[in-house]
Amino acid sequence: MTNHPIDMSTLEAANDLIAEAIDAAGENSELMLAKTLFHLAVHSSGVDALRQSLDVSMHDLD
Amino acid sequence: MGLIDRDVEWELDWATIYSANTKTLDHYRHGRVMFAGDAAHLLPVFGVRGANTGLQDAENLAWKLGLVEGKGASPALLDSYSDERVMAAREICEEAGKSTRLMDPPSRGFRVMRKVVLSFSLSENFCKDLLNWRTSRPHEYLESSVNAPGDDNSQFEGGYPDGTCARNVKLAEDRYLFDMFGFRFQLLVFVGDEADSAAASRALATMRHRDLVNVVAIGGSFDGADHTVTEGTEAVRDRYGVAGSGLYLLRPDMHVAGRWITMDLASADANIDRILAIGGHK
Repeated sequence: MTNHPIDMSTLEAANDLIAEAIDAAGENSELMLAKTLFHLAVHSSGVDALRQSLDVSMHDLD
Repeated sequence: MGLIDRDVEWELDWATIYSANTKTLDHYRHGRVMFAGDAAHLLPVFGVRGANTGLQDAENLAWKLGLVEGKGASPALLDSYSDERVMAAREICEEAGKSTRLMDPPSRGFRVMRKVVLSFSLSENFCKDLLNWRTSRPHEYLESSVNAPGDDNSQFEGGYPDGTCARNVKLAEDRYLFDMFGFRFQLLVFVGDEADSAAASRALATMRHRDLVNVVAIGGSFDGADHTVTEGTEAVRDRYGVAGSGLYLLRPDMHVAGRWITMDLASADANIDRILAIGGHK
């Protein structure tokens, strides 16, 4: 087990919600994910957290 | 062969389609016939503990059979084998679906998320459990009838609750807590003060099922203990959530059968009596 405060059910729920949303959005999934990130940044996490998440996510994209 | 840098001629000899199945019998005990391993449940190959589950079935059944055949325990104890292991198999079947989904994503969305999990797992700890967790966690018998009713389980902060699998603790270089264990019940006696030592010694002298129990003294010593932990005591206390006085009764398969915050050895003895006499039914 790794040391972090997130339990498995939270991890799995987040994983499944995103996967199902990508399937539901179909060919518009890129737009949907961009809207989701924008919405999260404004209403929940803030711009600094968004910038940090984008930095982490830019790695290993090949 | 090119993938492993071997330039040799080869031909396909046989190929087939593998169908992943998750199935279990509803009951593993049918009179004098016990089902275990692949005879009891069918699990897919995608990292869901198939071989481990068979071994855990055998370990669960072995000590109960030993008590029924060798110590006159009620055959009803064997029903708890079925209850516990069917529950474990059902949990594993549920997890198997998730593991299978990671190995063979059913849609574009799940394929994308697999890439996300694999990529994040290189640098972010939070994602690694999605890859490893299902293959390394023992089943917890939280609702087992073998667990001591009315013990102090709910009063502990931390440690290993009733039904969970107790963990080993490193005491010193090349010395571990489980080195002191045998294939019996383990009674871990955490000594808080001298009064605890005296109480434990008196209680052991009159313990009805003393021959079934390996007694390990932790944090102090007393007459009658089979082993005394003299190194790494604080590490054991920390892992088991016992700062002062306390007891853990472990089953022979290392799962917690009961725990108390006092020197209540009589209650631990009574729970063994209950397991033997009435098959562990609460």
